[in-house]
Amino acid sequence: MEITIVFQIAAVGILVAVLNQVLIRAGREEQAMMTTLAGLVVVLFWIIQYISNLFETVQTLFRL
Amino acid sequence: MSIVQIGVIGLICVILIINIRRENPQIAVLLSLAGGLIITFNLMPIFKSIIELITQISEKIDVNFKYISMIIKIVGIAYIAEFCSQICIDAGEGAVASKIELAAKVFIIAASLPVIYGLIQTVNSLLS
Repeated sequence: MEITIVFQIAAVGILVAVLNQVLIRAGREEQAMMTTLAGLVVVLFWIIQYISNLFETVQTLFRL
Repeated sequence: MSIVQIGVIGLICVILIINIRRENPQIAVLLSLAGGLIITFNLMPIFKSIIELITQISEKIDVNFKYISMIIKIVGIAYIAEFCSQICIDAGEGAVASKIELAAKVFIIAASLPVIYGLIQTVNSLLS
């Protein structure tokens, strides 16, 4: 649970944004949409592990 | 994990979020969520020591542990609800955030009912 995850997500976000622009300029809007979705899914997979990790810790700690 | 590190993590996240928000709002929301997760996860050891200290104190004063555990449970419920509803508000979804807040209130009332019931009973017994 370090700051590196924030940098990874930011890197994916910037990469997807750049790819989007390139694909839109090349006239392939639907592929641009697909890359955005792909980036989103990758980031979601990373985040889900951290969310479940944190919420389990909170549950055990606060006896929810 | 001192307050300085937490502040720096927060600032870094904000800078990155501003950078990404225009092109890619979805990733910006996930980035703010990640920042929140990191800061919260690093707070957990401190929470743990506070709760252990409270339980030790309650044992010394021999307060009924039921009340202490209820208070800790309510703090947990309130904390999780606040964490999630703030993320929803940042993403612009006020309706979802208010639903989460409503659910948190209901859970807190449900958690505190036994104690209220006990209180009313003791008051009744005193009066009658």
